[in-house]
Amino acid sequence: MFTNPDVIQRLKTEFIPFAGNTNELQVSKWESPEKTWFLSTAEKVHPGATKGVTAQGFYVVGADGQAYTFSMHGRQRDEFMKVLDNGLAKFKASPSKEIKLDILPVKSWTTQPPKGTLAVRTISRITPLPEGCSEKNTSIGRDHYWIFPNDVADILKVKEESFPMPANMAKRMARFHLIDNVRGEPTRWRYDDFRVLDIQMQRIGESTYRFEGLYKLTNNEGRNKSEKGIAGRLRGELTINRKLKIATAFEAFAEGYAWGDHDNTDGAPEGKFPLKIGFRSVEDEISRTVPPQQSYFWEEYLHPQSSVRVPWP
Amino acid sequence: MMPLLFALATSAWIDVTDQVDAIWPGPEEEKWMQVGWRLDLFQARQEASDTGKPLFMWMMNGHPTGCT
Repeated sequence: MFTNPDVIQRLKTEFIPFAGNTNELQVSKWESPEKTWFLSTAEKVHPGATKGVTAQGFYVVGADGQAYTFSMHGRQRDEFMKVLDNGLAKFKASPSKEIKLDILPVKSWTTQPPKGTLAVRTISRITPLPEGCSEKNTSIGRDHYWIFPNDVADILKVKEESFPMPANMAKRMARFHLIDNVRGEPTRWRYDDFRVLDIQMQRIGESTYRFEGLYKLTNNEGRNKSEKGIAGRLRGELTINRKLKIATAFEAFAEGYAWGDHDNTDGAPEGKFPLKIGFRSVEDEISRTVPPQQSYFWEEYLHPQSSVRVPWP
Repeated sequence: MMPLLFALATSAWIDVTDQVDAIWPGPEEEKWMQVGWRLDLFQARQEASDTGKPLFMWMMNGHPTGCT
């Protein structure tokens, strides 16, 4: 729907379009002015937003906190246009009062990476698409993987030309990014869900390393406690700045298969299905602003070998 | 691991860039970015006030622009 030219034009010209994460603005354990404002505004048109119902959806609101309309639906162009029309009409009938936010608050709810962290965009797809599977499986999974200076420090400690990828780097990538997020956000892998994780690195230049390996993770956190899993081969290349001890480029490709789903990601193809995941370092506003989805469980993301399980609020 | 290490060092290495390119979103799939989504709520509020426009908020479980 957001690819429709009419929709794009209207959002660009008639509205200020904002994209937000309910994990941060609705259910975050970190209080923030943004969360307080969002909830107090959203509940005027979606009372469930403060009563445990997901705040996912589309809102038209005023800068001063007036709320004009809310819809969880609007996947079709005409339906979506009605949401915009309705919101705009109410806005015109009762325009927002002017506001002046003298000091724009720091986003205290956003996980901030250590200085020198490299943001890597991940894209996942089910391809080739199994015959007869749900249309949900044609979606694209998107996320960001963070490579920390500590990961580079671990690599620089190694004297050999060939060596296993340092465990923190490998396990962070596997637990949080070797996932089937095509139909939604899956639960993260646990520290002990590894059946195989064997990624070997080789230094091929002054600051460049290639890596290749195999992975397999499974658990019984699928729907109705069924098994879900992922397995395949990963290969890629990492470039570092040896002087600054930071990663400067990362590209990798994981190819294999996955199986199972759970309540948030239901509709997976039957049995094992092909899943490909691409990793590529990027530098844009989104990569600077949007943290890895599972970094919400920050202690786990920082310490992927630890058995600590950070609870959902 | 020897076969893997051998592949890493030889011409058997497959160009990862080509593989990533093959699944990376194309222009048609990135059209939604043309909307110009604001990512800071309070900056967006201020902009809405300054321009006399309403805010359109797209909320998802997982950031809409960076997650699924």
